[in-house]
Amino acid sequence: MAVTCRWTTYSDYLHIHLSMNDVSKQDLLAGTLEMLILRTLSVEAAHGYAIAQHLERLSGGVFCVEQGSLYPALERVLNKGWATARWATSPTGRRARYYTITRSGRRRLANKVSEYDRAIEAIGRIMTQT
Amino acid sequence: MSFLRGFLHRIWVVLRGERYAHDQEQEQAFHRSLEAMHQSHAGASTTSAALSARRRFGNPTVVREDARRVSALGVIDRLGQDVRYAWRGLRRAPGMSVAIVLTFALGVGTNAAIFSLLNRLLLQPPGGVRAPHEVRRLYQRTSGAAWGSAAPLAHPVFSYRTFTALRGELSGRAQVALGTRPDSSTVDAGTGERIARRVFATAEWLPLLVSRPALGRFYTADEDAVDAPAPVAVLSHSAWQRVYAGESGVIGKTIRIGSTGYTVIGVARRGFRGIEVTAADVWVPLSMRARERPTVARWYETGNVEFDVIVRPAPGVTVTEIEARATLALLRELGVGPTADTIRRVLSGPLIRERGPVKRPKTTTLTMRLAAVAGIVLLIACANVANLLLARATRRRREIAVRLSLGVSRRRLFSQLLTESLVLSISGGVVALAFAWYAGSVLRSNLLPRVNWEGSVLDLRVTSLAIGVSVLCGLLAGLAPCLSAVRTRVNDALKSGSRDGTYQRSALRTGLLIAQSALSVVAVAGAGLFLQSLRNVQGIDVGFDPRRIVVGAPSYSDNQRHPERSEALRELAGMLRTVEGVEGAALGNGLPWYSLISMPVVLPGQDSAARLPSTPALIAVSPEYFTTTGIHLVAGRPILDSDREGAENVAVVNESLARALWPGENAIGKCLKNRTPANPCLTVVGIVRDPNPWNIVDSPNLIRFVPLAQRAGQANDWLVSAIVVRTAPERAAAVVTLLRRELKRLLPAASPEVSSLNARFESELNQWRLSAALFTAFGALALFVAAMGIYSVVAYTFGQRMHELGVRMALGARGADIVSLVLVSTARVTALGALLGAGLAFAFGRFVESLLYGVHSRDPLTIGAAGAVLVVVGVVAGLLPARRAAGADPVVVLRAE
Repeated sequence: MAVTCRWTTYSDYLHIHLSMNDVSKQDLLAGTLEMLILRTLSVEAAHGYAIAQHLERLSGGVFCVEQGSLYPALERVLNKGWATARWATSPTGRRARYYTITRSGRRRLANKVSEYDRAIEAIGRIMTQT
Repeated sequence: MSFLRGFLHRIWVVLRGERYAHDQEQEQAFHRSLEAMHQSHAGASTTSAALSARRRFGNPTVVREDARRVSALGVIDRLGQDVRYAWRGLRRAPGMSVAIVLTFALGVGTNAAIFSLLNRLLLQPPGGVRAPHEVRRLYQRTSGAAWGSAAPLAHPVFSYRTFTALRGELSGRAQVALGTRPDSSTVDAGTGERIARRVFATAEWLPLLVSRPALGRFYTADEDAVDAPAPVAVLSHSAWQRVYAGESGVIGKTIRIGSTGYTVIGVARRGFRGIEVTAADVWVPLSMRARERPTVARWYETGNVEFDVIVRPAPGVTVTEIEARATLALLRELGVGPTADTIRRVLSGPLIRERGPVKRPKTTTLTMRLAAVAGIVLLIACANVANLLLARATRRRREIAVRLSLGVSRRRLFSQLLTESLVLSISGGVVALAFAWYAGSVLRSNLLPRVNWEGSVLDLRVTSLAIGVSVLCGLLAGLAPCLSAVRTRVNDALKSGSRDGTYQRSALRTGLLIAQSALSVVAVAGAGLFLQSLRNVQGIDVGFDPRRIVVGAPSYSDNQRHPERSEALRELAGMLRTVEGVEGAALGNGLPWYSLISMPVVLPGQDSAARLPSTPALIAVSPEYFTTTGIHLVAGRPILDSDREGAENVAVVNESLARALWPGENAIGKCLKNRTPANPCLTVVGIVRDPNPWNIVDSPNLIRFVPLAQRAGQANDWLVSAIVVRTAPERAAAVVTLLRRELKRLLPAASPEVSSLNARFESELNQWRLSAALFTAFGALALFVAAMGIYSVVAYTFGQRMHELGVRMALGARGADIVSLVLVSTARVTALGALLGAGLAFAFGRFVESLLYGVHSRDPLTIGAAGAVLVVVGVVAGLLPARRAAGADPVVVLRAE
């Protein structure tokens, strides 16, 4: 299935970016995006583009990871010590920066997943109640 | 673990620095290239694929900024970048940067210097005292009637009798001690005389303040027995270093203070110099006072209030309890019931005298007012800097618009601009510290020479104040320009270009200009008031010639009156008259500005002392006294050689006494008696002018003069106490030396006290000179900074209006028209400021009222003149840019379009 992702134009983007306040951006993305990154890395080590592709593909095109947010998020993950980064040669023969999840990253992911499961279960119970 | 790993990552990023940024760059380039590849696989053309990749990636500047925000040290990293950026920006406009830094330095430096004085006077407890905030100084509150005040007054003085009552009452609840203020004594440790400040204090004094000596011991209560005190002394650490070079064998040595030899028994701990701002050098038992000053015999029984009392409450005892118990003891000792006198109370205050419940000394008030003026200078400086920064921000509108359109976030821009003004203000703060160090040292030695200044001007408190004030000013001054820059509308700014004369009248800029003009008028008006006070004080006729008088008196330790001692002085006076440069010599047992003894006056027909505003002074004088002192005769005759024992008893009164005793009548020929009605009549034979009794600015008190040779019913035989010598002011120092030497030779048993009233006169006048000089300096500083502000704003504004001016000139306006255009607009703003400033000066004048003499704080002439000065300075400051504008060639200006 070909993944398509709708993109705003550059000038729209600039406008949105300038008017969006940073707090809401962080609220929206910081926690979730980091959780999704860790989930992706828990399968195998990957570089930034691969992570973005993975998220887009698995979400069926719903999540269009704003690449501009991806790298700051990765930097945060490194700062927390949930992953490490190293330069390696990619299958295409070019040098790429690979991110590997750490043990504490896995712990963090497990916590987040169970938190998420509980929330979903609770929401599900409420939504199915008639 | 994860924390450690994350931390290591941050360290790594910091260590890599720019290389890490490069890594990130590469990583993201890789991302974009994969994206482009992906798109072209999906069928897009290469260029559109690359573009789309770019688009998907977002604005690279923004992305980098975002990455920076999460980067290793976050705030610090960004701050470093901002500072570097600010530094580059400021280096591009060195003239303006230097102007701003200097303005800050002047404003902040002045304040730091003044604060360093206030810090010592009002904030810093005396050095070396153990837990200084626990120690309280006691005050006695009494009705103010005796001092001509309607409100009750508190004084930090007690009698010894009251002290013993307090000590008994508070025993077990507090340590109580009594002492004198440091006096000035001659000290000789065998290496020549020098001046030292001595404190007489009870045995509790030193242990209460410092617990333990550095060397030896403190004296005991037995050594301070009122009738048989031991001549022992405790030296301050610094006196020990100075006099004995810090040798440990000092204990047991003899040091002569005044005319008494004392045994050194201890050295106080380092840094302790007593509890006054005047440093103490040596402490001796209180009871030794009686030995030194025979006139205070049986001092411990009199009710004379002359001593300081301090207490240190025991743990758990409140100050309220101490005050209540002390009040009870005081009233009991005075024999007053607690309800009979509700005003009289014992109050307590901090050890720092200036913070107690008493009227502040004049120099402290002066320093505080100076601090206010320094604050004004600071405000002007801030307004000035804000104006300069605003001008700069306006000039950079285009640059800012370009940067905004290239994607820098407004938040980032704001923090960068603010960093710029902070870099300026902190640099200003550092320069200010150097300025404060210099100005503070000058102020210390001139304004308050007697204060014990230990440590540098720049202690931690002063330094942090200077830096703190700088930062605050930087924020204040930088805020408006930053906000206006951030609100820049990109399109407008880019479209309009920078040369098309987009001159905007800025209300903020004009407001700042008016405010600083107004404030400088206040400062200049203050200077004017103090200058007038100085002129008035210099014009005061004090009623005699203190500048030409040297006075000497022998003081004896046995308090005996021997006729031969009087005879020796009489001889000395005769001898001195033959010395070249001595214009006269007389004897007297009192002298204005030196010592006055008061004794009640009784008029015939009355059986009690005459009702007078104060008890008149009585001075017994030799016939040469009036010509020697310069006290002029107004009517009648002076005291003559013929006024001796057996002749008619006579007196000479001053004008005030004549008026007080016989209002509207001629006093000559009237009779007055000393002390009791039983004493013989003294016939008034002359009236003299009023000398000011104690200092230049003083109201005369009542004085009568009687011949030394007559003993008309005075209780005491006349002890010739002083020899008064008249000489030219420039010879005063030589006469002091001569008089001291001769007194020593003639009366070897006595210790001579010789002083020059000229020195007193000068030092008193100096206070006035100094306050005038300081206020003038501050006023000039304020005016200078304001003028700088006016100049820069006018220059900038008309620089922006060059196009308009060019058009005017092309249409026929002449140079003079342009100059008047500029000047009128400058004058309008400064006149408004002057008006506002005059109002402020009028409103706040009362704060300096008590420091002025002979001029009202709301003197309209002075305030008006200050306003006029500002307008003139404003116009002069505007003249330079005006002429530059007028001299511009319209062709060149318009072609620059």
